[in-house]
Amino acid sequence: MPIPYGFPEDGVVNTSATPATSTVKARRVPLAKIDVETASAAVTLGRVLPAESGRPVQAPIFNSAL
Amino acid sequence: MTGLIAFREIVLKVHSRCDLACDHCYVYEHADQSWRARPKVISPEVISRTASRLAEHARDHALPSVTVILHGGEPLLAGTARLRLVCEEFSRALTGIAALDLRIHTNGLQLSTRYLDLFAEFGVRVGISLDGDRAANDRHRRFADGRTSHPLVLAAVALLRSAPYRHLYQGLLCTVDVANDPVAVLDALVELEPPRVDFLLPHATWETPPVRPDGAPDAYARWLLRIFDHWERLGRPVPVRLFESLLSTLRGGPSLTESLGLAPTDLVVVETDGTLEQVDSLKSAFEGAAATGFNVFDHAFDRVAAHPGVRARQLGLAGVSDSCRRCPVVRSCGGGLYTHRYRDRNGFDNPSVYCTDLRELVDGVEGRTAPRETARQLSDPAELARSQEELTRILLARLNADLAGDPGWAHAWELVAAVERAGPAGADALDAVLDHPFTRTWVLAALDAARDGRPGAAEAARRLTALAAAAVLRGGLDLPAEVAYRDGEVYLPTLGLLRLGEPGTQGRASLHVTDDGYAARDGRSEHRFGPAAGDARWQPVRTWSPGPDAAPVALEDLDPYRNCFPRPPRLRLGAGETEEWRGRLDRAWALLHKAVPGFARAAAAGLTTLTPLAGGPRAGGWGEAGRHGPGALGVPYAAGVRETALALLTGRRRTRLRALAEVTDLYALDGQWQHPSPWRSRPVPVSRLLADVHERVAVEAYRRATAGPEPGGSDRIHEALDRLSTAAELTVTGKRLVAELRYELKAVDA
Repeated sequence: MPIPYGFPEDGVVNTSATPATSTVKARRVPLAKIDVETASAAVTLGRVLPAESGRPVQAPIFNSAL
Repeated sequence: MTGLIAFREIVLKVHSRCDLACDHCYVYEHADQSWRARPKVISPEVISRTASRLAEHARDHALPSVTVILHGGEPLLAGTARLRLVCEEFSRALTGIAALDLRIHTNGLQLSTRYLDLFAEFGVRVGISLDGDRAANDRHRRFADGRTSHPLVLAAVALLRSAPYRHLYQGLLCTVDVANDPVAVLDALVELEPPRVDFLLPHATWETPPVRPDGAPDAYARWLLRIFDHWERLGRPVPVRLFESLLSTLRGGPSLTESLGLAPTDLVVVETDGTLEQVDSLKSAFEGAAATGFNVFDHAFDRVAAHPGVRARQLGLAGVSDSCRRCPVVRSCGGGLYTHRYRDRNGFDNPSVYCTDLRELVDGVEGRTAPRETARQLSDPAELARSQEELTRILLARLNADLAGDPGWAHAWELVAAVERAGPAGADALDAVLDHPFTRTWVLAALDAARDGRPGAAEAARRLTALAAAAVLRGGLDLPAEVAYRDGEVYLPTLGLLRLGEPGTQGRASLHVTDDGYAARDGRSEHRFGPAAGDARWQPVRTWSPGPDAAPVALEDLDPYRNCFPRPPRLRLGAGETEEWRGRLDRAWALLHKAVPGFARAAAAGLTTLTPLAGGPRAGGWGEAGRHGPGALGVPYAAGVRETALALLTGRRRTRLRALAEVTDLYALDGQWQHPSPWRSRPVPVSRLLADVHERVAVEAYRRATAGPEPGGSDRIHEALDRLSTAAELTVTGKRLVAELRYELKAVDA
């Protein structure tokens, strides 16, 4: 039996940012399948883990070629 | 040698002559005429030696990949046999050392299936120069006898787009001429379905300024912005490197071309005779401008990397002119292409000869895109919360990558995965424990330990097991909930502290859900406990209700990871102390809602956890934000009602700004500039100035509504906002935030 939120005194607080009915939960990547090596994950991690925000491998920058 | 920026990009001149006679070509038509003395074709010895040097460089610098761009003159004039040798030698030399990205940039005239079969064999991607429609292309790209090259280039592109070779199509490079019709130029390029396009400003310096037919200093900006507008109308049908670079830097990301931004150069040019040169566009500046005095036979690439001319283009902000350093768009334009800054009198210590164009172009792109490019988290609290939730999940996955080899961690990870797989109830329960603000504190501490090589896997596995168990209990799930306790107790995140043994003992226990709460089985004995009431072995997390319609807030005085604030937390409050604190919080909350209702509502949004801190209020009574998830706030337990109200207000402002900065880019290159602050004796980085203003707008509102405003307080905030408005570090999202702060202050002033 799930514990209801909002006991009048001491109890269980809902700390979740995503409403229980949100479709976000259904769409998101399961924890076990999150790939932390992607460029997008590197950007996300780089904001809070400065040691990981080193210069990423990027496309060539030579002006006179693509 | 230390401090070198390794070369990741080699421009290999395989042929020094060209079969076209474009009158805008920097190789043949500009200041440097060194091509006349070069061998026409690169020799096998130069190829072999360059490949060895590159392999040595990649190995020494542990480069994961290198790019080799075959260039000229016209590189196809080298012939298939010589180009095959290039591909074979570089592939062989780099095997097992670094990935090799081979490219060629050509005018396309000689392109045939013989070449393309060779390129397909070695994965050489092909870029082609084309200045747009026929009229545009014929303006400069002609044979020496004046004949058009346009039909031959189109035939080359058609062949490259055909089925066997399409995957080699790298894109089209277009040199700008403002006499051309920009709409026709873009249409002509888009029609050829290139994977990417770039527009190049014709090389020019202060000595040989660009052609400006109508004398306007912004002719190139207006031309490029017409391209941009048409590109937008067409739905951005192809990535345009110039525009993508500007959009990236405006968002706070890196520049994508050496012609824009402050990214250090990482390319070197190898001429057909093995001479090592700096970037060859410098040939437009003066005779010998690109020379280094080094060659592949006698010198390693590191020697060139240490060359003052190369280093000068790696200095970022310190490498641009003084007026550029003070310009608000310098992060995006970077002072322009290095070559375009040249003046005989003082070399390259100047803004670009395209300075006016670049400023207008950056401002124009920003003005057209800022509303769309602004991060949604700024205006949408739900989106901010969702991004924060995702951040914790990615951090946890990152920790798993570090600790996956530890059996205890692997077991705990599987328990968490099982909770997530247990349908909506499992996902909700897992969210609740992952969004517990001190879960973030724990994950970050565990990542620190893993990075520093400190032992921490056992402690991390214990906490993760407890997280999984808490989720099982919260969700009422029919899953194993086994916990490991230490010193006789275990903290179940968001629920409470469970004593399972004598102090100093450790072991494991099994938890499960009962009809009216939970139970812990330790051997043959069972201890029942529940969320609402404690006993000798169970201390539940207490709560406080901010109001009849508000969700309860945890009064967190149990979690060991709550010790993340600038001052230490209180130990577990007594029952009487808790009641007293609830009373003070009630009165402080009421005061806040009466004095500054808008700010109070914003402070309430997302607040889940209050931690009592030791000691009295600081001067000003401001609240504390620490290294935790966004729902938490530390408040001095001993603070009175007014100080508690101010602590709630300022603490939530700090937490909100921190939460934004963790999931969006409000600024870039923080600390590269120092700004005078009305509140501090020394200049501060932009992050500090923004944080001060963000907090003080709310404080000013509160003071006006209660004790009266601080004399000159509003003026000081305006002064700081004015400074921020011209700060080069701010991204489009950061600028939007500053605009909102100004609006908030105006509302306060009113």
